[in-house]
Amino acid sequence: MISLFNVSRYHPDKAQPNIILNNVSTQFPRKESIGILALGGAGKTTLARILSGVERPDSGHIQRPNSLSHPLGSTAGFHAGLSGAENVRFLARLLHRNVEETTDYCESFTDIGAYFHRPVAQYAPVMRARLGFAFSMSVEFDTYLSDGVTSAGDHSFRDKCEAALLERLTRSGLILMSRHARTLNRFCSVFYALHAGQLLPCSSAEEAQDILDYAGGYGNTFWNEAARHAG
Amino acid sequence: MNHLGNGAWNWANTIHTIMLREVRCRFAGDPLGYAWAFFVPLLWVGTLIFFFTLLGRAPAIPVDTPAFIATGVVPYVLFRYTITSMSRVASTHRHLVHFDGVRVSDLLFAAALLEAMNAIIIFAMIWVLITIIFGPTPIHNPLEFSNGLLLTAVFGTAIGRFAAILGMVSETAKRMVPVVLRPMFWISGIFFTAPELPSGLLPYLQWNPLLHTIEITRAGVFLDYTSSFADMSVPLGISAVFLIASYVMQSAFRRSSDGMELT
Repeated sequence: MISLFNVSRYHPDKAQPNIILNNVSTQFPRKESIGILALGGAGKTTLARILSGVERPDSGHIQRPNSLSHPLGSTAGFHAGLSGAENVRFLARLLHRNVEETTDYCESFTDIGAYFHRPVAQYAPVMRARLGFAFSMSVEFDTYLSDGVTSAGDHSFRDKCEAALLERLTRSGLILMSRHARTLNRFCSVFYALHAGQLLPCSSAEEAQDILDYAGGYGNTFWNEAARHAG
Repeated sequence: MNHLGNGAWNWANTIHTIMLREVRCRFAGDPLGYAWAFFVPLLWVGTLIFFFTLLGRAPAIPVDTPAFIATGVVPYVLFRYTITSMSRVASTHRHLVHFDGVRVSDLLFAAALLEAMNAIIIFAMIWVLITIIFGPTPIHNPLEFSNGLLLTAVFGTAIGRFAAILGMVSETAKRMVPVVLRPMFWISGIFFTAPELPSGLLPYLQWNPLLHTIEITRAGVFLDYTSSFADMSVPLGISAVFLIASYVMQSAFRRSSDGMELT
């Protein structure tokens, strides 16, 4: 169970603070697949960073008693000067996982042949994305975190990624943030709309979409105004 | 107790992994690789010996020139490299904080520890070379010598931590750090001893912690040298001030300029 208690986060702005989260309290059960629908710039990445502990909220706190993954498919931890295999080994060690098993899994999953043992700097973007997703799938977490990514690489590899993720979700939870209701519908069973600093519970991804449509997107909307008054 | 033990083991494993990653990453793609970390200080020592010989200069104390220079260069390298390395890891390995259990403080500590180990290896390499070329040069007081290096490492870590945190919240400060530290090479006793300094300068330079740690290191190595100048309370006190300042800054700013948590 991941719990948020009165969590607020603002991005400083000269005119007025940009509200990302405004006094949010909620709980994400361990094995649930949570879908959070949000417009671009609403704070999906910031929320992901706060949930994973990379950023601290301005006020409130978060409890994460179970293991939560790094953002799904992230390639940020890879050093361009190291080979794919070396990167995977170091990251597996940092996560206290079996190095050999993790490396074997990634080599098999990425399916990039000899490139796996070459520096990541030589990879095409698609190969790098494959490696990022393979590493995410190679490590078991109680809950996976995704900032909109559910697959990577070219068309055939995307199917493989989604199949691997769906299989993993039979025993793990997911917190998926996306701009697309269709993506949430494919992987999630519990839905929220993130708007004007509030996480609004919804019965379906379509309802979340309706809320965002009603709010009218960006700017001086009803929900923006409501959140400002609440703050 | 078992939980504490597991936590300590995991933390040690994290630090070890970051150190290994830094070793592999720092000179990735270069044919000489990490050997550069040892080769450059050796080159410094060689260059300074060359200029001492060229200028006909001899150390103020009755010891071999190479040994005298080595006891100045190694602490300086330890100090300077620790600061550079801590600032670099805060940038090059910063994405590792996305992985549970890795904090900015871990990155900084791993860098400082790696540089301390490097300094020991560099000193050992130089001492072996000196022994082969000029004959045995025993370390007179290993405890005092170790104390000198340890104080240097502590001082380098304190300044390095302060500089790294400062650099994470301000790009301007990051660029200023090397400029501010540049004079340390000339005022820290690498090629002179404290008693050689003009009496007018001593009241100012006595506040340079590196001058004290190099004096302590030399007093530990050379039988015929006792430093009446060296005072370990100066490096310890100033290190404490910078360490506390780094933690206060970390707590006050909370986030780096790219929003990352400064824990």
